[in-house]
Amino acid sequence: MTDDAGPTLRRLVRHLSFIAVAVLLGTVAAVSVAALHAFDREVRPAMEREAAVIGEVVANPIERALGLGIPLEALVGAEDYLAGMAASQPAVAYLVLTDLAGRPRAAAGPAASGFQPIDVITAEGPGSRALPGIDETARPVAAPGGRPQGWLLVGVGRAAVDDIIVDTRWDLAIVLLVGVLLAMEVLRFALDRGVIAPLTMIEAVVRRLDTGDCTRLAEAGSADEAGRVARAANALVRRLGDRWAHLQWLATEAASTGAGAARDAAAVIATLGDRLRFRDGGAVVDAAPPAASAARLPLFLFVVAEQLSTSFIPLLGRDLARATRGGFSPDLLAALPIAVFVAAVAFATPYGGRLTARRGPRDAVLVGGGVAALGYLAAALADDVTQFALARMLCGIGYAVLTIACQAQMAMAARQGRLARTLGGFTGAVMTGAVCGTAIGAVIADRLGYGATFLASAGLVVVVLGLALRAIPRGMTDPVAAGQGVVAGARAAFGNARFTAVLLLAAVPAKIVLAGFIFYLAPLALRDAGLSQAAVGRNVMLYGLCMLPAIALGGWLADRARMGGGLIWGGAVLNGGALLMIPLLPEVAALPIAIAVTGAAQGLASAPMLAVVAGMPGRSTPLLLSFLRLGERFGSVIGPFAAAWLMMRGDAVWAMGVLGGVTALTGIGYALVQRRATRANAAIAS
Amino acid sequence: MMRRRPLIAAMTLSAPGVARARSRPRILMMLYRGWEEACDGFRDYLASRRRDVELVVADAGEDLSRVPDMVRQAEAMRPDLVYLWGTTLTMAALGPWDGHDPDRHLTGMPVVFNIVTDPVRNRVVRSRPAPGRPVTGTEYIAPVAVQLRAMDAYRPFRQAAAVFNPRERNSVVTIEEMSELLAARGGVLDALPVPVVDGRLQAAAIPRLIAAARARGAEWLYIPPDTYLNDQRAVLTGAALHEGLPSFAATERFVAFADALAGLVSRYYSVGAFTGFKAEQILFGGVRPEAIPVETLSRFSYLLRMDTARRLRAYPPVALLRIAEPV
Repeated sequence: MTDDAGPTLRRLVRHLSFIAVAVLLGTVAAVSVAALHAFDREVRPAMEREAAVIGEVVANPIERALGLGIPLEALVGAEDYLAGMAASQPAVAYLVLTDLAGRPRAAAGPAASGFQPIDVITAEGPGSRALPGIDETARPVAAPGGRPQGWLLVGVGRAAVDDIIVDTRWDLAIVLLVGVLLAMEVLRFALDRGVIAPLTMIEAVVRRLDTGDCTRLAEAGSADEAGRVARAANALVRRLGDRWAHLQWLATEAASTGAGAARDAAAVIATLGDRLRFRDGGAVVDAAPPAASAARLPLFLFVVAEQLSTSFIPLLGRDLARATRGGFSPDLLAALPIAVFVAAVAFATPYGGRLTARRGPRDAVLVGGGVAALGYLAAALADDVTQFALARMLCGIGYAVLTIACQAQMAMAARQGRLARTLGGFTGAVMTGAVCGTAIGAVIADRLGYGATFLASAGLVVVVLGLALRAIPRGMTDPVAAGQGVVAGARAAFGNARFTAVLLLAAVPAKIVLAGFIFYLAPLALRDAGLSQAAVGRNVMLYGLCMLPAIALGGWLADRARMGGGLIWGGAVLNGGALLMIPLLPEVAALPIAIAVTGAAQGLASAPMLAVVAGMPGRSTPLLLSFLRLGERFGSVIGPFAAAWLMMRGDAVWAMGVLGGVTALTGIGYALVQRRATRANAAIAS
Repeated sequence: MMRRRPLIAAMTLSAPGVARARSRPRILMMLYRGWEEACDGFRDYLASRRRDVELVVADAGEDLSRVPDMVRQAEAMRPDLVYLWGTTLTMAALGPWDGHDPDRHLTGMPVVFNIVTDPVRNRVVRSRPAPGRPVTGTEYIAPVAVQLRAMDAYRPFRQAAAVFNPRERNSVVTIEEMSELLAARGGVLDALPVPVVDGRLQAAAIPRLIAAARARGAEWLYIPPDTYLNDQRAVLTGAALHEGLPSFAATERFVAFADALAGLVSRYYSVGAFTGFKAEQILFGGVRPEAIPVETLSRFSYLLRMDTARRLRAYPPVALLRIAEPV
């Protein structure tokens, strides 16, 4: 209901959101910093202990040799021995055996060549040294019960610990991001339902009363303060209505006493009639318009539920496939649940659109959520890969129906002039849900197991169903498509040149780039460039981070500046340009830039694209959106294959360049189509 | 003359009572050079398991001509199990698995052997997993390839010398295998049989053989499992020490009770206990000997004689000291 809120309420929401997020961010950041410091405090002493233990283990045979009467200077194979020990301990930078004066007798380890000799040895020994990147611990070597004959210096590199600390920082940042996104979604929903909607309703009542409109009553179902205000206002309206009726009766009675009285009474009635408006038969309840944001939290939570299992589905599929007897290879069978899910989503999407059109988004969400919950329960109980694949099929059907229902609800409930921004909320909810679900799901699976994670998904879907029952209004069916089958709907959709242009020249190429570049080529190229797996993941995350704000900006620009078409083709050209730039710059710099620009460009185009489709006159919005999503699925499937095919004919950089060129060309193609359509419309108008 | 010695230890293991005494399994222990640590291990294992057995000992006193009498004695006694000690005695008492002569060899009674070298190459059994006759037992030397690596770990080499008794099959077989392995890696084994004059082995020739080998460039003296050399171990290892030649033994006694520098060995006592386990399976577990694989211990001891190391100034590498047992 934020869409319908006035400037004051929007400001209130902004301030509340800002304060809540600032408090949350501050708190979590403070806790994170404290945790990092605690980590550092715990790890450094642990490093020293590790160095001491390594020293103990390494010194043992040397001391045994001394105990057997072998002089320190006559030790055989000391260097080979130290090299073997250093190789078996990744944290060891060097191991150096010195005599009592600190002169090295043997040294080994990756940093042995940079070993700095000890300057001063006190009576207690050389002590510990903190060298650049290395913590050194010294330990005397002596025959059992004898006097020290030398020193063993253990240098432990700080790089491994520093890497862990960097990874931990990133983990904390991700947790921070997930926490903020989750809080924002819940806050948005709570504010909409608990603050914005009642205040908007009261504002509407006050505005109506201010203008003397006594024809309508406010919805006064809630027991809160807003409900009491509404009931009081309704009582006032009814009393005014009664008084008006009574006044009219008095005027009629007065008119019967004489012409003068009749004139006076008519003047009074006319004067009041100018100021107040009444409805014959009494005021009626003014139903609140459907809220575009009502479907956002259910959608967000559902995507979280679905994404909880993303991190381990291939692993679970492989485990179940290995336990399944049959003639097929386990690796092939392991892909079955993923393929079945994707196929189920693709095929069920148009039927989800039709169900939404016929029964309304609320019923479609309930049906989709119910099927998905069954799927998660079945997945939790699956014993073999076939059962698991069937369970994932149910999840895919549920996902398709529920998401298209939510998208259609948002499109149909969007206020005039806010369509793009509202539909941008759909993409935003899906993306934030995916980020949160994947991150939390990995933790749940790690701690509680795969089955428990699916049960958590099922539980979350039950919450989604509860929210849908409370928040999404009944109705909102689409009479245009209610009697139309899927095939007829497809024919109608693809017969529309504007829809086909958006689909083929914008939506599908964008998904090909997403799946082919972001998910396939970029990780491969980054890995080949020497980045760690974690660093590759962080680079890929840039896509989402840049896309989220761009979606909001794109929606705002499309609604306010009416430049949706320009954003669609401009985004494609920008995206293509970013990919074409990759061959010109060093990969390590070019790839993150290209990923970020792709996120921003696709984010800018996302909401306008949905708005163009949802705003096509005379067509069923749910059906059009479902075919758009079907096309996007198609693009997602062919993206990696197209990238792999291109890579086979050149290399990854060349493949990225080709993808970029094609994307830019489709963008220009869309611009030409749009220009022709604009001219045609202008000609018709003139 | 065969010597019988019912053991006091075995007697004490026996439970009182005539009925039980009659049902007590009888084990005839045919030994080649008297009672030693492997026999201790065999006896102690059964005692620790509270297995009530009667041990009857017959010792050949290193005289193979006594073996036919010992076999006849066994045929007359019909023990529940025969225990054979040593490669030479085992080969003489059992004959080859594919050339068994019932008139000369033990027949119709289960047998376990102990302290035997390469029973397959010596044709005591058909294969280690499936002996092919009612005979099973244990090996006691580490695989020759492992011994070679153990020598290399102490001191890398290309040329070694090996003194051996040409009359002992176990010794000859081991020398052949060591020679093949060394040749395969470009090394040489200078095989030095102890001379035989008038049918007698000439122990006095051993120092001369070693000196000559040293002069030809030997870097190690390898001592195979050999009963005769065991008797001459002081002469053998002393001569090597005198020549400054480190010696490496396949069996324990050359290091533990002489001057050999090192050896990768199975402790006799442990091997004896392992053989006791196999005897227990046969006598009390109802398992047929032919169904019990011939095995060796999975762990060996790397023995070091530090006195010798110091005198030779051939100290072991530090890494070796993590696993070696100084004696």
